[in-house]
Formats: sequence, C-alpha cells, structure tokens
Amino acid sequence: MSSYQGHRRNRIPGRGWIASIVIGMLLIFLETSPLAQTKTSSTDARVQQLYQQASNAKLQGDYASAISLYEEILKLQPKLAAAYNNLGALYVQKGEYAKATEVLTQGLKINPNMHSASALLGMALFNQNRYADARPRLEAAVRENNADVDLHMLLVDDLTKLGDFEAAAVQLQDVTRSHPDNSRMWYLLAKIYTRLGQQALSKMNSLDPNSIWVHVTSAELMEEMKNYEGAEVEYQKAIGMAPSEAGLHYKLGDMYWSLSRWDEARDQFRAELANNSRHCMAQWKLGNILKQKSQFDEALAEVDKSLAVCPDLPEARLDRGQILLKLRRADEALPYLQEGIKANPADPGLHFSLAQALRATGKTAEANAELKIYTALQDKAQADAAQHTEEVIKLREKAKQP
Amino acid sequence: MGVIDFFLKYLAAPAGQYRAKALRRCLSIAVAAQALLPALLFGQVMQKPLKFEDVTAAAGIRAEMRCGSLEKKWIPEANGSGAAWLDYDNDGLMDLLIVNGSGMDDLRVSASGRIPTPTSQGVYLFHNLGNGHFEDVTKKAGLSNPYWGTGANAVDFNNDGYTDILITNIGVDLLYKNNGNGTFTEVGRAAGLSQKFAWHTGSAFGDVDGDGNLDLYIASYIDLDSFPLDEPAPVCSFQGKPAFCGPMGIKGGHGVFYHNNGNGTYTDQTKQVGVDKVRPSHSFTAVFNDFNHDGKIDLFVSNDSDPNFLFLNQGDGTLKNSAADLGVAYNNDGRAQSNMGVAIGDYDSDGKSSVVTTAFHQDYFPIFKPDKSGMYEDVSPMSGLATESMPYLGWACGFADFDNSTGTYLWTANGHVYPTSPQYNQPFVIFRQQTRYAPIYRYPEVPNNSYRGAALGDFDNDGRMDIVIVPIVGQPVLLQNRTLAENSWVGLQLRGTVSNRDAIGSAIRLKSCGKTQFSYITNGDGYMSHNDSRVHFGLGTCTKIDDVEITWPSGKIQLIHDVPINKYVKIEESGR
Repeated sequence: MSSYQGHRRNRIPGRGWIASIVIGMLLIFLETSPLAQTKTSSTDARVQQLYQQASNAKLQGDYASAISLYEEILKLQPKLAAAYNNLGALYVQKGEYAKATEVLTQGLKINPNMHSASALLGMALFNQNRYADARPRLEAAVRENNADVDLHMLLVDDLTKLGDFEAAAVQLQDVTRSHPDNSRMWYLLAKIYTRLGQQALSKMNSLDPNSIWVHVTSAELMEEMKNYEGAEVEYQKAIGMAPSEAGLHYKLGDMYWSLSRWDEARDQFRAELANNSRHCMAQWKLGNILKQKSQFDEALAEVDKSLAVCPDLPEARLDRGQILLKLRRADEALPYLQEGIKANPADPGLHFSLAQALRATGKTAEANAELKIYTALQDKAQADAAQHTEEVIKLREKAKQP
Repeated sequence: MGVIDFFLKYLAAPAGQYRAKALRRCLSIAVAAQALLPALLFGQVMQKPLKFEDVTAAAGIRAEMRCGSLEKKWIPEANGSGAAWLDYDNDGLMDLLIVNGSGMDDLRVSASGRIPTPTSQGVYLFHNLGNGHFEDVTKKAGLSNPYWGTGANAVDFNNDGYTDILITNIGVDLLYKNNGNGTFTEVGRAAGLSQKFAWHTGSAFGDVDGDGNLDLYIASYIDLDSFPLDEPAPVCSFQGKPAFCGPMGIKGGHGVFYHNNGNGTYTDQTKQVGVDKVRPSHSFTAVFNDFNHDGKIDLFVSNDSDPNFLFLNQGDGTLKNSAADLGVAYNNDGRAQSNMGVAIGDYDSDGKSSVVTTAFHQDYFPIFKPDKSGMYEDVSPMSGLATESMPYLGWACGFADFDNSTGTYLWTANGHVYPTSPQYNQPFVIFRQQTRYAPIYRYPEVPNNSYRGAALGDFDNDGRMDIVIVPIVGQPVLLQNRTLAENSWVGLQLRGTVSNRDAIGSAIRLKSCGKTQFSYITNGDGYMSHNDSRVHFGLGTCTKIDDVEITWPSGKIQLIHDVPINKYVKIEESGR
C-alpha cells in the first residue's frame, strides 16, 4: 500500500509543502504502519516510543533530535520504509540534501511506490544540482499532484537548468491555465519564451548568420525590448534580402504603425499588399492610417478591401463605422458602431462616436444617453490618472524621508 | 500647363482655318473672363502670393532666446515663451515686448525661495522708432525679469490711458504699470497678485462682471509643489527614444482668477468665481470671448493632454466649465489632445467665431465651429485642416487677412519638443481655405528652428499684418509683410469709455461692397502672446465701407458711417 495513498494536502508556497508531507507521512506512519495493526513486540513498542519522541521533537523544531531518533528506529527496524521517508524529509528540511538522498534512496529500494519519498528525493537531487536525476522524480510528482504550483515551479526550475525550455514552457502553460492570476508564473513564462527565442536565434545564426530569418528574429526581439532603431535596421536588412517575401513589409509597417509613423507605415503596408493582396490586416491598417489622416474616402476604400477578404475582422468593421460617420453617412455607421461597443464597452471614444451617429440620425435621447456613458468613462479615466499621479507623488515623498 | 498655354499650342499646330477661328474666339472669351472675375466677385478675390521678409536684424531686434539646455532633459525646457505688440508710449506705433526663458539652475534658485539675479535678458522691450527700426529700451523702461519667463500680455489694466505689461513666469508673475513717461514700475505684490512660486503660462484679461474693469485669469501648467527639480532628471521614452517626462504623470496646475477692484488692485477670487471646480490640468492658453453669444464674456482654456475648459459666464459673477456640454473639451474623435495655442476668428463670416487649437505632431489641429444651436463641432477633418496640420506640432496660432483680400488665413508657429525627433525644426506656416485648407506659405523653406510664441502686428502701419515669431533658442524672427499692396484695408482702434479702455469683449461688424465681416477684440489668444489690439479688416478691391457696427462690452451698440479706408481709425465708445 502506498504510504502516500489517500492523503490530502493543501498547496503551501515554498517549502511549506514539505512540512505537510512530513506531517501527513507521520500520520500515515501511525495509521498504516504495520505497527498499528499488529500486536507490538518489545521492539515494536520501542519503535513506537521512539516515533512519538521524534514527532514531539519535530513539532518543537528540534530536527537534530528527531533525526537521531529516526536513526535509532532504523537500527531497530531497518526495513521500515516509512521511516526512511520521514528521515529523508527531515534532512531535506534541514538542507542536508546528500544525506536525504542516501536515506530516501534506501527507502525507495524497500518500497518503490512511496510517491512522497520519490518527490522528496527529486527535490534533494535538484538541490545538489543533479538536475537530470531529479527530473523523472519531479515529473512523477507533478503528475501525482498537478494542482501543486510549487511542484510545477520546481520542475520548471529543473527543466530550465537542463536547458529544456520547451518542456519548461509546457509546464508553465499548464500552471497559467489553472492559475491565470498568478503573475509570477506569467513572468517566468515570458522569460522562458525569451530564452526559447534566443535559442532559436542562436540556432538560426549557426545555420546561416545572414539569413533573413536571423534578421527578422533579431528585429522582433529588439522591437519587444523597444529598441525601435535597431529593429528598423534589422527589418530593412531582411526586406533588402527578400523584398517579395510575404509578411516582412507587414512586420515593419506594424512597428511604424504602433509608433504613429503613419507615412512610413503606409508605405510598408502598400508594399506588403503588392506581395500579398489578401493580407486583410495590412489592408485594414492602411485604411486606419488614412482615417487618422482624415482622408476618409480613401480610408473607406481600403477598409472595404480588407473586409472583402476578412468580413469579420472586428477592427476593420469598427473603423468602417467611424469612417462612415466622418463621411456624414451616420445611418450606415450605426450598426458598426453598436457592434464595436458590444465588444469594447469601456472605450469612451466609441460611445462618443455612437452618440454622434445617433444625434445625426435624429435619435437625440439615445445620443444623450451615450454621451453620459462617454462622460462617465472619461471622468473615470481622468480620475484614475490623477490618482495614479498622486500615488507616485506620495511614494516619492516617502522615499525622501529618512 | 494652363488652359491658355494649351490653346496657344493648339493654335500653333497646323489647322484648318475654321477650327483656328473658332478656337481664337474661345480663347478671347477665356481671357476676358479671367480679367472680369475679380470684379464679378465684388472685388474680394484679389488673392496675392504672400510674401514676407525677415527684417529682424535690419530692424534692430536682437534678443537671445533661451529655454533651458539644448538637450531638453526637463519639461520646463520645452515650452518656450511669448511676445506682445503694444503701443506703450501712445505714439501710434506698435512697440514689441519679448519674454525670455531661463535655465534649470536658476529655476532651482527661485524654487528655493531666493530670487535669482535679474538679468536684462529675462525680458526685452523694443521701442518702435517709426522708420522700420527699433531701439532696445528694456533698461531705460525699468523692465527686468529674474524668473523663467513664459507669457507676455499688454493691456491698460487700470484704465489710465497707458498700456501696462503682465509677464507670467515659472516663478512669480510680474505686473508692470506704465508710468506714462516711458518707464514702468513693477506693482504685482501691491496690486494683489500672488507671490507664490508657480508655473504660469497664458494669461487673459476680460471684464467678467461688466464693471468696466479688466479682470484677469492666469493659466497654470504644472503643480510645482509636487514637481521634483533635483538632478538627475527622470527619463521617459518617446517612440523608443529617451525623452523628458511629462506632462502625463505630472500633476497639473490650477488657474488663478483675479477680480479687478477698479483701483489698481486685484483680489484673488478663484474659488468665488468657480474656476477651481475642475481637475488640475496642464493649461496653456486662456482666452476671453463671448463663446455662447449671450452678450457675456466667457473663458476658454486649452489644455495639454487634458480636456479643454470653457467657463461660461453665469451672469452672477461666476464661471462654470461647460466644455464637454458645448463640444470643445475633446476633438471629433472624443479624445483630449495636446492643445497648446488658440485662435479665435470668424473665418467663414457667419457672425460667430470659431476656435482653432494647435496640437501635437501626427495629431491634427481641431476647428471648433458653432452651429445654430450654439454647440460646437470639430469640423477639422471635413475642412482639410486635419490632414494638412498633422505634420506639425503647433504652438502659437491665429487668423489674419495677410493680403487684405477679405479672406481669412490661419497661421501657426511650429516645432517639436524632443530634440531627438527628426521633426524638431519646423516652419512657421500659413494655411488658406478655398475648398479645403492647404498650406500656402512656410518660413523658412528649410526649417532651422523650433518655434513657440508669436504675435501678429502691423509695426509699419501699412495695413499689411506683420508677425514676430519667438523660437525656443536663438534670435526671434520679425517677418515684415511684403505682399503686393493693391487691396484696401482698414484698422480700427477702439477705446472704451464705459467699457474697459481696451474694449476687450467688443464685437465688430463691417459691411463693404455687399460683404459682411465680423471680428472680435479678444485677449490671451495665440500662445502666451498678445497681438496688435487694433482690429484689422482687408477690403479687397472695395474702396468704400458701408458701415461699421460695434457692440461694446457695456452692451452699447454703435453704428458708424463714413469710415475711411487704408488707415487706422480711432473709435471711442460714445455716451459716457
């Protein structure tokens, strides 16, 4: 019978889970030990006594005494697998990983099905930088306790040390799915992705340092790090090498677009469309730029081309509504704007546009209602910004105090 | 190739006699029509190519403009300063006041409560000698400014017949009373102006309570109490490049309203009037004008990255912000913009003034135009100005009829804020609207500076509006208008008797040759600058003014006939 069977444990951050394993193990030790079920011989009685003393010592934080007591137990009952588990747990808690490894290994030889001992052994091996040895044990532990975030983290650390970033990413994706609000997980996932990116870049570089994909990947990484000048150079190198390659002009155009460098973005999107006339995002963004520049007739033509390819592209549909409004075609604009608000109810600009369209079509009461929502959203945004500024001021003042 | 060129070439080609004869007939009609066109349009379409000449050095204007370091690591170093045209000695010639900035070291001195050593470079006053030359009389006049100068304004605040000077500062504002003998005395403290160290920008004078005295509003950009000045400067990012921080994330300021007590003093009535019932904002330009056409003067304030204010005069001594209700808080997209300068003008002669504000690069300058209900709509996208203004980061702006054609041109002084931007240097631009707005003049052709304040004025009294432009660094630029002088014009110098002496708040309607034009005497518009307060009208080829109707701030309506053309005419409010 597995010494870990039937045990329920709550997730405890950090090393707390080890304590809970130990406590659980102690209980199970008591509940399932053959000692609890057979008539006690004098040896058994002595073992029970020692166990009780060890438990008390452990509870009082006297690990050294608890360890001595378990060692004594093992002298009396050298085949008692659970005792090896508990002793190993104590060594892990004390940070004596080599001893923990030795003890837990012995215990697992006696009873290979001690999952908690296996997990503890994995931890001990990890802490001795024996990452390859630790991996199967930690993977097994995670399979047993998929909800335990700390176990996932430990395995991720181990996989990262082994350089297996792909496997680490899989683990983190698992955790972020079940714990989407854990920002540390997202941070680690971002780091892993960055490492994977760097790995891929190194590989590409080793294959051909001057390939367009090396330049593109470099550009994307630089763009992520907001080194737009560097990214621009790399994108242009890639484009110079393969001006007809679909997607390249779009990437550069998209960067310009995000920086409001409209003319440069426009040129890139046009170049992309010359290579791939069905790139509906490039088409929409071209229309969006023309809308920004108040060239509404031309903007509508471009946005309509985008919708011809991707009729459900929400950004293009919304822009169509706004452009029609600017062209004084409020009746036609209304359904697009209403659709946009359903998708983005917190966008004050949309409520403003809808209010304009409603007013233009004679729906004054509805227009006023939209304006109220718009004003409330704007007021909230301003209040939030003002509050944030005040908080920064307070932090700054606090930092100045001795 | 024009139509005429085309026909000439056609005629030159071998052709049958009949065809050539018919074409010659067409050509003669076309040529005659072109000659008749101006007369057919009541003499209004005599638009000339605009021509300006930089006469700064020749005129004797020398002022080394300064606004912090060239690297612009702090936001105070970005906004520049203004200029004012004023006739301080009542000789009929416009004199020139230029306010100068300072540096961060001096700013820290004044922030600590000490007054930096005054320098003659904090402000300049140039006396117009009448022959195209100016004399620097700053010291002689007793002017100095130890603070970081921002705004220049000039009105007769005490109605004694002499134009006084207000200098707003990042520091303490200075009110210079004109002694009437070519000198000034600083009376800010005695007059009741706050002596608190503050970041003030534009100022506007207007008679809010109709008592004949000019009240005062001073805009504030940033709350200096919460703005750290210690090195190192915090670094933010603009399009991936390091840039100074702000204004977002820095607490905005609160404007101050002073009531004119009528005895040369002011009382801070910010709370009583109600202009404090708005969020702290990054305010630049304040303008008094009747924005809802109810006969009472209101206050518009342009804000940088915050919604604009429009304080409507409630008639009971209070002002209430109604910008969002009237449609001038946000642009056509419902967005708050970085609005700097303000132009007020009736550019389409419908009897109601529109409001233009300048904005950031890659954003557009909105035109808030009132409709019949009194609501304003941003018509900039439809007018073409939105597209044409996007390349510019605009500051001072205004309307003017530069060629006296009765048309209304929009001028803007431009320049980016970040020295690392390839668009840092930008030109002074004049836009004209025919079907759509288009830029028709740029100075210089190859931009070599970043401009901020500017003031429109006719310094040579030839009826052609000149302009002085204040850059962020280097010498100001005095552009003399040399556009061909074939059109007629008139300039009206209004003097209130019951109303405030500067007649701020007056509405003027002029009829000539069947065309009606409207203008208003405002104060504060532009960008931290003050224009020539005489009201200028271009008349095109019309040589007779039918009449001029003036609605004075007191409410009195005065109809004047036999107004001469091609000169400046003094008109005094009747019925005192």
